Amino acid sequence: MSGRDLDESLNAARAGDESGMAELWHLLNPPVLRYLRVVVGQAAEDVASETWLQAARDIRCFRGDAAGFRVWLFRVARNRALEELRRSGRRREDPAGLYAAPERPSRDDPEREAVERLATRSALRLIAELPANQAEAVMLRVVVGLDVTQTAEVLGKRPGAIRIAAMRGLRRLATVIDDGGVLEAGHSNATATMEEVAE
Amino acid sequence: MNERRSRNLDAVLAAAAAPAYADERNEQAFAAVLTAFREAGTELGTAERRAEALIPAPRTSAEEPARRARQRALQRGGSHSLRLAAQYAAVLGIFVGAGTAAASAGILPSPMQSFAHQILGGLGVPGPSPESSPSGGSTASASPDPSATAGGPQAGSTSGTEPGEQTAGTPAPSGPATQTALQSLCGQVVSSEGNWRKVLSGQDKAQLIAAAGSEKKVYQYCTDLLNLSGGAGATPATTPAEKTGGPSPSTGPNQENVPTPQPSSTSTHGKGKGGGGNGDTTSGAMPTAGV
Repeated sequence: MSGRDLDESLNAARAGDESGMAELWHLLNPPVLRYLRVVVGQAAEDVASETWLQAARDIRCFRGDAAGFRVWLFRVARNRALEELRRSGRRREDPAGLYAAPERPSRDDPEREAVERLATRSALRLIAELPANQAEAVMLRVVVGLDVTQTAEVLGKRPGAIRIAAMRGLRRLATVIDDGGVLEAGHSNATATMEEVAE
Repeated sequence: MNERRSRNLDAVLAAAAAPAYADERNEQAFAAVLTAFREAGTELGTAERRAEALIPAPRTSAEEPARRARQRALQRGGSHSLRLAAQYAAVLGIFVGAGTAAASAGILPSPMQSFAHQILGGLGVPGPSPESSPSGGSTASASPDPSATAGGPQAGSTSGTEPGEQTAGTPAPSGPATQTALQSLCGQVVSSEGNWRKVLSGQDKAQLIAAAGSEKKVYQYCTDLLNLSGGAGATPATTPAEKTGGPSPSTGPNQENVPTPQPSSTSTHGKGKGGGGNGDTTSGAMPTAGV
């Protein structure tokens, strides 16, 4: 997702163009959904729908750039998720919902996509097992791609707290993976990732 | 962190951030979002059209009288408040004006007069006089006031009204003594050849100034007083008792020969200028003039 595409889509949607709104949804719904799967698990799709309904109603009144829109959208998603957690009485770190997510057949390469989806779901499950603040920080920083300031705005915390939470989350995640021997694939440098998160 | 651990972590993160899958772009959810987007646009467009057209909300004929009544009520409320404020201001002004006038006339009770003198002394409001209270007035006229002949400022004030008046009019037993003291002081003043301020003590100066009316008139007063003693050049006295013409006991044969040290002393009583000395002068004149 490029910032320019997101800006153009945002401007079109604000002007009332349905295609702009569709582009926004296609660009941002997957990360929103994954973030919500970590936070609320099984109810992620319902909460994502509520989030987008509110975004569709209020986007014409939104003032800001694409980065600001992403922050606003994830704040809406988080608020809806917290409401859902209060409603259901579940703890945030309960990852039960991740296992119950329905699987849909892929159109292009069903076998390959099924494997990748399984890997993604496993990864989200591991992240969801982290403490809530660490899981959210890791998701927003590493998976969604927000910077420290934006993540702090979404979570309502100071940037320093976000840095610490993300770093601890990654260390803990590495320990969990190491202990469980999960996923042998991957060639990039995790140390560099952690340093990047800490910046 | 070893390399294997690093690779595992990166693999997990890469899987979490993998490109979107088909099930993450649910068409049904997208359709609902688009529907909400259209509805919001329709509502917003309607509102914008109304705002752009500047068409006021249609009022029925039944609503119009009620609206006008509300406007009238609002206007009445505002004018009523203004009218009430004006009335309060007028009443307050009357009270202030009356109080100032009363203070200037010196007819307020002592505490209030003292307070008014502190605040409005610059405007000529005199200080409180001992006779301003009902009991004080009667006492001053009927019974001798020991402080009136004492050596303090009040003593000076008493003696400062009229020498003759003090002698004959005021039933003060020390009247002749005061007259004698003044004559003695005046003798020092005349003999000092202009340096009487250095010769006399502060108490004596205050007594003389009170008797003369002001510091500048002390020498003239003493000259007149001593001339009276010598029986030459006396000016008929214009004491308040004589002005009122009342049967004052002070109007004896000597009274006519009492010099008028300061013709303005009578007016000084009313104005009360010059601070405590003149204010006390007023108090000294009150029993005679006011009764």
